[in-house]
Amino acid sequence: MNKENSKHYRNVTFFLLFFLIATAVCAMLIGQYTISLADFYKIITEKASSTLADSLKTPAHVVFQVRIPRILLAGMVGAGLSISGSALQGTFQNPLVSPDLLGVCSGAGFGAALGILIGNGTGLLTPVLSLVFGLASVLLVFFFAGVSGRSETLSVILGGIIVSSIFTALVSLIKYVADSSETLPAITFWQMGSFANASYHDIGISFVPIAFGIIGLLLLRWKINLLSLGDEDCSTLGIYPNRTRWMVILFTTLTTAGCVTVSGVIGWVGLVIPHICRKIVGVNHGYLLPTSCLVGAIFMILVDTVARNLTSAEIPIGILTALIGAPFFAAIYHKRKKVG
Amino acid sequence: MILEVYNGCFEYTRGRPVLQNIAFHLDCGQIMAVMGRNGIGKTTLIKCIVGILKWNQGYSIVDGAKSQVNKPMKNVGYVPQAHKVSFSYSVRDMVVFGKVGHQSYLAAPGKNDYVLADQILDKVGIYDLKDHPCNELSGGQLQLVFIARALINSPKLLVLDEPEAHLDFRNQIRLIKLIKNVVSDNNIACIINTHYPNYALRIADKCFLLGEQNYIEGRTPQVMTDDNIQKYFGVYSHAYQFRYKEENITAFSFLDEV
Repeated sequence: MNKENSKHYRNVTFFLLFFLIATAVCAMLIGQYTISLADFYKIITEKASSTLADSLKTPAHVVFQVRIPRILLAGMVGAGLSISGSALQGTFQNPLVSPDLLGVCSGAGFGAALGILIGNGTGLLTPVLSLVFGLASVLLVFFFAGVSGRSETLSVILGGIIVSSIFTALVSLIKYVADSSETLPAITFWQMGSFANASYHDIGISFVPIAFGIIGLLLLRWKINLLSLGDEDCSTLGIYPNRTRWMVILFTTLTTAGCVTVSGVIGWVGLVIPHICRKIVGVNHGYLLPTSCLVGAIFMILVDTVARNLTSAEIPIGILTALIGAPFFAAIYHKRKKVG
Repeated sequence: MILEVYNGCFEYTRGRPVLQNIAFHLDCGQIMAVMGRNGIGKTTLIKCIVGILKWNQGYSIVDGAKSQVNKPMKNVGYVPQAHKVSFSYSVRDMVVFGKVGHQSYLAAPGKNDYVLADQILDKVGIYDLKDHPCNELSGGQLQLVFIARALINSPKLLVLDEPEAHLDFRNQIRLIKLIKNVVSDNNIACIINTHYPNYALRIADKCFLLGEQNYIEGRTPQVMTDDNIQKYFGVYSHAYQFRYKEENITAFSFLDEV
């Protein structure tokens, strides 16, 4: 990247940061309970000096207890899924790979379903089980790829498919035995993905794995460039391909499991956002990964705001991201075929 | 001495050795050409030296460091055959990637690395292509990019796998001259795997002919004879000599298979 390009990158980053803040503020104001910008300003300043007028108690509650945790969570999950997608696409040299490739989503989904079945979805049980099974799924993939002797790309992907289908079958089993009046709908809604019940509690659970994963991936971002050149080039250029690939997989798993745990399964974001970002800053993962984080956060906050405002009954966000993502993906694929 | 190989043996499957008891050494400023029939193990030999493959027996030493499996070696610059690049990295980025591998996990390449990349691109003669995406280059151009990427670490040993495979005659001559200059300017050693004896004869100090059971290695004029070509390639040839610009040139014509 030459001087103009790195300047371009800096401008893009500043613009995206500004846009992220603007989006977040808008998202705080819009909703079933609309808050004016003037009131919002008052709430923020008076909250700080703790002289909040009685008339502003309700909007203040809406902002701090409902919208801020929801926006924070949506931003975190959007950033996490997008950077995981970018990192995995680079690592597996395939721009059509997404974070659920490694069975993480199915594993975490099974954990959550189990939690809802035995604990009615209350308390810490569901998120913890979800996180544990999300991480367990990648261990199973590791075991599979390790047993085959070579942890090369193909065996990792094959392992992901196997683990995915096992957990998907187990989720079906749980649904089959679940109480059809309460537990079954709860599992089904969870699977659609939603931020509707976002709380600081959720942020507390998912912050550590998501932040740890994102920081890890950001540190590895230049090495991912080398991984994308293939193992031979990679090892002669001075890094251990297997070891580095597993590090990337571990960090994406942490991030994805953290996301799925609190938001349910939200598809397509991790596949589509990296493609948009490549159009903006190019293919170099040194720049692509940070940009993916920002664009992913913006996208998720936007879509979540749409999800809760479009109709009076909230649409699960997983449905919206699929409705937006799938046609977009089809368009990209069509274009690729034409070029190729 | 930059490179020493002791008793190197390698087999992909048990009982079917590809390389047996290979031993040779290479000094600074020397170029060695590795030649042999298709599928005889030339690339395998190179991969063992670079450390992509592990010698089953024996070992090699590069600049005092003993070879290990998959152990990244900073002193070796490896130029693979031009292959497809999965993402459209710019030429400049691709050259800087050469630096990335040897930096710590926390480091990102800085301005200096890009300046260095520009200098090397200029030296290799593809500065104009610096902002071009790699997957839109021709095979020959990509080969030059890979050479630049190998040179950015100032290696002590440069290893090229059939570098002239995708090039036309003019670019082949350019590349051969470039390799010769790089080797003498930096006083490094170079191994080049090639199918073109005539170019090898012009720049190689040593030649390595690889056969099924045996090999011959030594100074170019002693190794490159009609007899050896018949023995190692199964081809009748005729060598003829002439002078060009104060240089004694030997060239081979290949006549018929044995």
